[in-house]
Amino acid sequence: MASLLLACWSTFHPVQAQTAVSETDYFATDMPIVLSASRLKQTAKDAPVAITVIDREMIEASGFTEIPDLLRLVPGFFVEYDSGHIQAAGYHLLAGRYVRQQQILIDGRSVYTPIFGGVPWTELPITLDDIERIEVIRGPNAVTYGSNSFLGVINIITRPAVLDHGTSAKTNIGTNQLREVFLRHGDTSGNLDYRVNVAYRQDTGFDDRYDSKIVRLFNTRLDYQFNKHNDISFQAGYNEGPREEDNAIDAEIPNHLRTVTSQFQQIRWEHTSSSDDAFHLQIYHNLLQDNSRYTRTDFPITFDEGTRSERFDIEIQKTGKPNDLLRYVFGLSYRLDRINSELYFATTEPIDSRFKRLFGQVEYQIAKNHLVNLGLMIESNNIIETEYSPRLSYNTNITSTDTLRLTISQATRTPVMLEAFPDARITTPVYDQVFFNNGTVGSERVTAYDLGIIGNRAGNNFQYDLRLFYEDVKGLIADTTITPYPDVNNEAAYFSNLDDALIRGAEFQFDWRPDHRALLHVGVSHIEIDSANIRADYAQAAPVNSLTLLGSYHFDNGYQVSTGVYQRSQMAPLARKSADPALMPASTRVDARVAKRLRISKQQHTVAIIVQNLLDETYFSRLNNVIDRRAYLSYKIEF
Amino acid sequence: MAIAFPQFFRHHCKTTSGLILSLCFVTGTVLAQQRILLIQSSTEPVYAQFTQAMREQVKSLKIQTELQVVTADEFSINTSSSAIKVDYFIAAGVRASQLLAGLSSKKPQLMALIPASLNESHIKTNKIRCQTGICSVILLDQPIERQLQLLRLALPQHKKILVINSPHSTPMTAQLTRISHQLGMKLNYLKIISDESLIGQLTQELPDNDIVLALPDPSIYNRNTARPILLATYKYGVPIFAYSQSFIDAGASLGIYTTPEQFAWQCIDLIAESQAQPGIHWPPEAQPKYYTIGINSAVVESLGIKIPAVQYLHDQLERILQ
Repeated sequence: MASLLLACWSTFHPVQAQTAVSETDYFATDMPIVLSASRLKQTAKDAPVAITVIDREMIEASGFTEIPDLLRLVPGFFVEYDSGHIQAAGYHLLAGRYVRQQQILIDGRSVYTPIFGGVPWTELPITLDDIERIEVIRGPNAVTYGSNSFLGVINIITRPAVLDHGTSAKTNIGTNQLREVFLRHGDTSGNLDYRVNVAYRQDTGFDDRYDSKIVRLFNTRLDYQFNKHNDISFQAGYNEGPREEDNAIDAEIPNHLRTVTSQFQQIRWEHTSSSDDAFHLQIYHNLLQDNSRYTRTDFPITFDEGTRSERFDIEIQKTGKPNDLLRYVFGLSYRLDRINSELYFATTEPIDSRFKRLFGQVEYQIAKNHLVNLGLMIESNNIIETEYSPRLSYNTNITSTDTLRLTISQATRTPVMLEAFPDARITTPVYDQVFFNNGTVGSERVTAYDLGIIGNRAGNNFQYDLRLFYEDVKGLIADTTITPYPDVNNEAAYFSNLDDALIRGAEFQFDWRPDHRALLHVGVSHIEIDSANIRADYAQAAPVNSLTLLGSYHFDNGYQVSTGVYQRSQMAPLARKSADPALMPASTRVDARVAKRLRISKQQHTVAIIVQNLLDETYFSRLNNVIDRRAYLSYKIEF
Repeated sequence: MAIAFPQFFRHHCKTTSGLILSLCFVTGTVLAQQRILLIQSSTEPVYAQFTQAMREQVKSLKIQTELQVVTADEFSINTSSSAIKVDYFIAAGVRASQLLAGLSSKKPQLMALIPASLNESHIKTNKIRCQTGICSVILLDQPIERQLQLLRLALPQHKKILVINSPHSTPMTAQLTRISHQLGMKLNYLKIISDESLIGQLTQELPDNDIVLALPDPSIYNRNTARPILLATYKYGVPIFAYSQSFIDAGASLGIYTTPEQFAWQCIDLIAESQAQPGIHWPPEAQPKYYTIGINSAVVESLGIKIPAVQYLHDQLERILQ
C-alpha cells in the first residue's frame, strides 16, 4: 500500500516531478478519452424526454438516508412505506409495495425484480454515498431500456473510482435506533483505479411495528484504462441481513425474520473513438435470495415464501455522430431471468424467462434549431410475443434559451413471472385459494403524448422544465378472482389485463444555482387519473397535487443549511378493491439539515444534524405507518 | 470540431506558386535548386506529421527546393556529410535543435516545436546565430493574449479562471496576471501542496472558479491525471480550456493549439521570405503563426454552456489581435 500511495503522490506532485516539458507534451497524444457519451449527462434541451437530475449537491442537502427518498425531489414521484425496510417509489402510479411501471438501472444494470416486479430498495448493494447522480426520465422510455420503462426510468450513476481516492468513514446515529457506519477506501495503481466500500445499517422501522432491519453491505469498483481508447470497469456488491416481518397484511402471520442476500457482478468494456463515438459491451449478473418461513397462528401450517431470482444480461451498444447533423445509438441485448419459488410456482425447478432486444435511435437536425429523434425497440421474450416500442420526438428552439419538445411514444410492460406463470395453492383447514395461469395475461401498454418547454436563464444558472403529459394506459394487470371454482373452497385467481387508465397533468420544475453557495430546486405536479377502477382504485393512485422544494446555502464559515419541503394531497396506493384502500390524507413533510465542514490538518470533517418531519406533522403512510419526527447526527471524516 | 483556417490560404499560395513555376519554365528561366535539411528529433507521430507537411509544402516554394530528412540519430552519425550543400537547416523538436546548435554552419536555421520554458537555455547556446537574423526559434506555446482573448470571446461570462500552477507555468504567471487583468478577468492560481493530492485541492477550488485554463505541463496534465481532472471538473460543471486536440478529445470543452502541419507551414513561410529576400532577418523567437480552435461539442452541450461557432471565434480573434 505504501508503494501505491507513493506512486500516486509522485504522479500528482509537480514539485517532485522530474519530468521536464517536452514538445510531445504539447500534443498530449496519449490522453485517454474520458468524457465519452456514456459518461456525459443527458442535456435536457435536446432530449426526447423530460429529465430530472438529482446530483451530489442535492443528495447531500436533502439529508435523506434511504435511496428511494431521493425520488421525492422529482415532480410526479411519490414515496411511501410498506414497512421500515420496504419502500415504494412510484411515478404517476403508486402500486403498493410492487411498483412495476418503471425501470431502475444502476450504472446500466437493471435491478427490477423478475418475480414480483418493483425494486428491492433495501436490498440494493450500494449506499447513498456511492451515487454520483440520478437521472430520472419522466415518461416512457422503452425505446432505450425495454419493457418496464413504462412510465418512468430511474438511472442511478455511481461515482467513478478515480474520484474516490483516499479513505473516509461516516456514521449516522439517530432516533428509531438508527445506526449506520460506512467505510470507504479508494486508490490508484498505475492505470487501475479502485474503490472498496463496507457498510452496516440498522434501524427499528416504524413505531408499533415489527419491521426493523439490519443491512451488511460490501461493494467494490475497479476502473482500468487500457489505453487511450479502451477502458474496462468491474463492479461487484453484496448485501445481506435480517428484516423483521409482522402481521400488518395478514393478522395470522406471526412476527418472523426474513433473511435476504443480494449480490451482483458487472463488467463493462468501453471503446471510445471520440466523445461522440463509442462502443460498449456489458455483462452482469444479479442474484436476490429471500428466505422467509413462518407457521401461521391460526393453524400449524408452515409456509415457505422463499424466492431466488437471478438475472444474466449481455448488451452491446454503439453510439456515433457521423456529422454535425446526425447522431445515432443502436444495440442489442440478451437477458435471462431465472427464478425459483416452490410456493408461487409449484415446482422446485427453476423457471426461465428470456428476453432478446434490438434497439436503435436516430437524432437528426432537420434544420437549424429543429431536431427530430426517432427510435424503436424490438423485444421478444417467452412470456409475450414480439413487441415494438417506438418513439418520435421533435425539439425546436423557440428562443435562444427556450426549447419546445413534442413527443409521442409507446411502451409496454411485460408481465412479471408471478403474473405470467402463477401456480400456487394455499390450503389451510379454513381457507383454500388457488393462483393459476389462464393464459390470457398480456403486456400493459401506454401511448404517451408529451409537450415540454425547457429553458434556462442567467447563463444556465436557472433551468426550468414544464411538461404536459397525456398517458393512455391500456390493460393494467391485476388479479381476477373466480368464486366458486371447481375443487377450490374459497377463490381461484389469475392475472389479466383488467383496467385502463388515462393519466393527464402537468409538471414543472426549476433549478436555480446563482453561485456555488446557493441551490433552490422546486418541483410541482398536477395529476388527474381517469379509470373505470374495475379491480383497483387507479384514480387515487397518485395525489392530484404535489410540491417538492429543496433549498441549500453554504456560508463562509463552513456551515451549510438546507431544508426540504415535500407536500402532497391525499392519495391511495393501489390495493385490491376488496382490501382496505388505505387512503392516505394530505401530508406535508419538512426536513432540515445543518452541517459544518472543517479541515483539520489533512483531514476533512463534516458534522451534520438532520431532522426529518421537523414540524412533527403526524401523517400516515401505507398500512397506517406513522411518520413522526426523526433526527440523526452524522459525522464524516475524509483523509 | 476543429478547423485549421490557414488551409484555404495555403491552398491559394500553392496554386500561385505552381503558376509562377510554370511561368518560369515557359519563359525558359532556370532556377537554382536549393536544399533544406530537416532534422527530426525522432520518428514519433508529431515529427512525422511535421515532416509530411514539409514535404507537401516545400513544393510551393518559388525556388525549386529539395527537402532532405534525417533523424537526430542519423544526423549525429553523418553530421559533416549531411551539412554539405545545405541552404537551410530545420530542426523539429528540442533534441534536433540541440544538435543543430552545435553545428558550425552559417546557413539559416529554423528550430521548430520548442517549448517556451526550455527556450531560455536553448537560446543561449544559439545566441550568435539568432542575433544575426538567420536563426529563428518557433515556440510551441500559444501567446497568452491569444488564449485569453479567445476565452473571453468564447465564454464571456466565465471570468474566474483557475490555473494550476507548477514550476513550469510559474514563469508565465506575471504575463497571465497582467493580461487577464487588462481583459477584466480574475485569475486564481492553485499551487499544489506537496502532501495533498491534486484532485483534493482541485475540487476545493472548482466551486469558486468558472473555467480551468490548462497550460502544458506533464506533471499536472498527463495520461494518469486526465481522468480525475476531467471527471472532477465535469462534476462541478467547470469547463477546461486546453492546449491540444487530444486534450479536447479527452473531454476539455475548448482550446487553441497549433498542429505539426501548421508549424511546417510557418517554416515554409519563413524560408519563402528568405528566398525572396536573401538578406531578410528572421525574428530570433517566433510564436505560432497559425493555430486551430477546437471545441468538444458533446461536452459543451452536456455542460449546458454555449460557445459561438469556431469560424466566428477565429474571425473575431484575428480582428482583435491585429
